[in-house]
Amino acid sequence: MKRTRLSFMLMGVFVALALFISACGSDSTASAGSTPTTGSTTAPASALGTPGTYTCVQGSITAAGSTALAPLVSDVASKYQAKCSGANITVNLGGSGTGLSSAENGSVDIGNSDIFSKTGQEDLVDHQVAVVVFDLIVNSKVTGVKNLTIAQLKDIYSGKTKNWSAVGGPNLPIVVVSRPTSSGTRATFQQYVLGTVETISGPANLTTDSTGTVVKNVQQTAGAIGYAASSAAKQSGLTVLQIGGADATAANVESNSYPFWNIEHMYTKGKPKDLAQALIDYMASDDGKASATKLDFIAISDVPQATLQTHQPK
Amino acid sequence: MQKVEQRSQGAAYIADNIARTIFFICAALLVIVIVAVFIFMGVNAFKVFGEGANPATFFFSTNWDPTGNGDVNGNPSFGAGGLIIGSIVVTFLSVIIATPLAFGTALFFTEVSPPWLTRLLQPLIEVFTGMPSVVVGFFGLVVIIPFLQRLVGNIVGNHQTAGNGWGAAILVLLIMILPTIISISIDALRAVPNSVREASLALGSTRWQMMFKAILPAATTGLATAVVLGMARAIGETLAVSLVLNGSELPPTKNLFAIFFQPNVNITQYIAIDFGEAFGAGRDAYYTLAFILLIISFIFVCISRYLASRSVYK
Repeated sequence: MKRTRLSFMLMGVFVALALFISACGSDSTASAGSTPTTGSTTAPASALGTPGTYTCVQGSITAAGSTALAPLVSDVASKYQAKCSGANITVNLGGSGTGLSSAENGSVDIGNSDIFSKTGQEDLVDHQVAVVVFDLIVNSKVTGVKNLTIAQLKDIYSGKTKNWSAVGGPNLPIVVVSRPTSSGTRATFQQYVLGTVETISGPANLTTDSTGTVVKNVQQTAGAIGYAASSAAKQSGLTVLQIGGADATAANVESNSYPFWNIEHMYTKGKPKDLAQALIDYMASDDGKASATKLDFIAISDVPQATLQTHQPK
Repeated sequence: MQKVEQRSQGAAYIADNIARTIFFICAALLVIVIVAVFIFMGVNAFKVFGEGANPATFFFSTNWDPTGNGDVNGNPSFGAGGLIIGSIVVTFLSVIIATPLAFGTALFFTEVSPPWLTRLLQPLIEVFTGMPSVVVGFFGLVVIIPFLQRLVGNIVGNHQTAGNGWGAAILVLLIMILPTIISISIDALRAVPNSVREASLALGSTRWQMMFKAILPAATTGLATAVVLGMARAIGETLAVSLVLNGSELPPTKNLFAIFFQPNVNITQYIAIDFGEAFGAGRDAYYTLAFILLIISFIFVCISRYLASRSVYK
């Protein structure tokens, strides 16, 4: 009796193992079969009728970090993987700080970041791949306000201006929806828009974790103002404010009349691995630019050098 | 005939020994993992004090800005007082409120309810035990917060942000831990032998006296386990709580009622919203917070185990 039970158990274990192994096996063959191109090293540019050469490199890499940049990297990576069989690119989230420290300690091949690397991370090589634009969004009850000057924003984010009526809006208290102090988006806002730090706190201030929650809170809280990446802000359908009279458009970013944008980075430790280099190069191809436009980023090559210079670390 | 029996006995011993070895390895692995977590957190937890944090201000100041982005000069400040108070208050109150409710419900199911109702409702409660926290958190964000806002907005002031905070967090935690405590309590009460009930009734107790004076004390150990597991879920709960707290610091108000309905903080919320973006000393500060959380939950578990050990039934 006991003997049969034991043999049952052993058989169960073997069956499970067999299933596991066969599942793994079929998985790898499927992924290899689904990629269209064969093992050619340099594919011809004619595939999309656009000049955008790319180098197919086999292998697998991991990129991690910035949640803002992740959609773009994922999109470009999946295009690359569709063209080059044998390339395996994983894109993880975690935040810019995680991206930088993971690239630094070698646990990922590429660290995605909204911010420049910190002191003590000098061996990280910066690859600037795109410009992300942020929008100021306000709750639907805030009518009549289309534009805020930098001075007005300073007063709002220091808690001096407490009511929308002071800036031409309805008689409604202002609620500021912030990101936590370590956030790259908040750092961008403070450095390039306010020129100082957000000092507002207390009941007129909400602090929320992600772009998505900021949008949700601005939608839900009467009189709320917040900032979020352009793509998320546009999807939300909320009113997007002008800053200093300039709309949040690509043209205004390129001429630097709209200040609320930042450079997105892909950091590698030293010289990148072949596949990492290929992916970073591919980000600058026409396919990469198409992804950037689709996801409300601006390709880095479209932004004049003089403009980029204004958003370098001091 | 005899030979066959002997052989099968021998096989049974082998099976016994294999099983014992496997179970021992499992138990040892668990101990190793727990000890490893403690050591890892402990080692990392004290780093921050060598990087500019002062132990006194760490526990008693309430200005938490570990990366210094919120300071004009970029100086970080490590004041986790508000976060620690937040975690203790939210956990303690939710468990204190949940425990009597859960015991009452469990008593109803085991002692009062007709069997068909138990058969109907108990599976329902067990389904709720495994409810994903993001679902509860989202429910808190879009239902509980607006509801609390309408309920107490006028009393608290700051209509638009009223409702975020400890009060909402406690309600969200109640939803999450009640099913856990109830279903384990039911099992504990069912395990009380019928002789206890019969003896109590035979001595002339009313039904209520029987439940309160005989059954509950007899089941203390099991009930304590229920509370400890509920508490463990409450103190470690991150996502749901961070969705409804939405604060950046402990509110400055001295009004003990209003403080529950204003944007507020706790440890897990800050780890959730800020850890990914933090770097350097800021990142180490979050290890310290996690270690403190571990210690707090350890203390809570010890206290409840001690209270349970004072049971009348030994």
